[in-house]
Amino acid sequence: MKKGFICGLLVMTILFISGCENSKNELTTENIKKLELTGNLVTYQAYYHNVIEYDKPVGVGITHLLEKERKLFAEYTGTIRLGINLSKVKIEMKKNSINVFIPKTKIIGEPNVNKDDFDANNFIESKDSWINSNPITADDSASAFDKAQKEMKEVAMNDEELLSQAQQRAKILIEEKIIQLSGLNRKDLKIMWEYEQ
Amino acid sequence: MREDNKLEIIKRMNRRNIITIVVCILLIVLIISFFSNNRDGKVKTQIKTTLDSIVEKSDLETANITYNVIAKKCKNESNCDKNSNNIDDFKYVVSCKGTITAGIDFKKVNIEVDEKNKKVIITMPEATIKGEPNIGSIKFLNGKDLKAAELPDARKLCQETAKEKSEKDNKLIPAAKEQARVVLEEFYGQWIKVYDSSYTVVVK
Repeated sequence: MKKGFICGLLVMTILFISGCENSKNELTTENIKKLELTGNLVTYQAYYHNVIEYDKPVGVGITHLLEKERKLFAEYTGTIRLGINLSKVKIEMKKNSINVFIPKTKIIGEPNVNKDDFDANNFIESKDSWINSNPITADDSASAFDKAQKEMKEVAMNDEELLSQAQQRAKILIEEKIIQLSGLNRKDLKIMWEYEQ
Repeated sequence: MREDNKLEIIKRMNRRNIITIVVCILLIVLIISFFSNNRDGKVKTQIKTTLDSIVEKSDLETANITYNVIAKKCKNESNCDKNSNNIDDFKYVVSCKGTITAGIDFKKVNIEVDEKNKKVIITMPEATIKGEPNIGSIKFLNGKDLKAAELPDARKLCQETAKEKSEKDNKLIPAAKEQARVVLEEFYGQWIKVYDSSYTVVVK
C-alpha cells in the first residue's frame, strides 16, 4: 500500500515536471498577447565619425563693419539609436498563418554627439579679417554642436539603407519571438509580413 | 520466542520501508536536479539557436561605420604644424566621406546561466577592423585654385588620414561592438521575459 503510494507520488512528480516543460509549446492568442509589446525596440545603434561645417556670418551694425564671414570645420563623433515603436506592431492570427505589421523605423531618443569634440582647439577656421575681427566664440561652438545634432538626425532619417536594415532587424527579432512562443519549427510557421513605408 | 520473531519481522519491515522511502526521495531529488540542470542547458541552447539565427539574418557580424575625416595637405612637409587651426596654413584641407567595416566573430560568443543571481550572461568578443577605409566623395574646404591633378593625391591623403585616425580612435572598436550589443541586449531582455521573467540578460 505504502509502496504504491510512494510510486504514485514519484510518477506524479515526473508528470508534473514534464508538464511544466511543455506548457509553452503552442502559439495561442494568449501567447501572442505577450508579443503585443509596449515601448520602443532598438534595432540599430549607428556610430558616426563626422565632419561639421559651420558658417559664422558677419554681424549686423556699425561695429561689425569690414568683418569677414568665418568658416569653422571640425570632426566629431556620436551615436544614434534607431528602432520601432512596438505598440504599433500588429499581429493577427489567421487560420493558416500569422500576419505581422512592422511600423517604419524611427529615431529613438536624441542623437548622442560628443560635446568634447566641439572644443575650440579641435576646430579648423578660415582666416579672420585683419581690420575688424569676427572671432569664433563659445556660442559658435554651441551652435555648431546643435547643428551637428540636427545633421546627424537628418543623415540617419534620409539613409534609406539604414532605415530598411533597422526595420528588417525588427522583423527578425519579432520572428524569433514568435518561434520562441510557439515552440514550432521555423518551416511550420507561415508568417505574412507587412512593412510600413 | 514467538514474540521475539514478530518483533524481528516488524523491525525488518520498518527497515525496508525506510529504505524504500529514502530511495524514492533520492530519486525525486535526482530527477528534479536533472530537470533543473537540463533547464539551464535548454536556456543556453535556445539562446544559442536564436543568436545564430539573429546574427546570420541581421548582419550583426559586420558593422559599417560612417567615418568622415578632415585631411590636411601641408605646404611644406618639412616644416608643417598639422595641429594648426588656421586653414590657410595648409596647401589644402579636404573633407573626406568614408566608411570603415568592423567585424565581430560570433563563433566566440560565450553564454553563461547564473542561476543564483538569475542572470543570463552573453559575452561577446571584441570587434576588429576589417580591411582598409573606403573613401567616397571628397570636398576641398579651401584651395579654390587647385588643379584637377591634385584630386588623386587628395584622395590618397584621405585614405591615409582615415586609416591613421581610425587606428588611433579608441572609441571606434567599442562603438562597433556596442552596435551589436545594444541590439542583442534589447532582444534578449524581451526574450527572457517570455521564457522566465525572473531572469535578466546581460550582454557584454
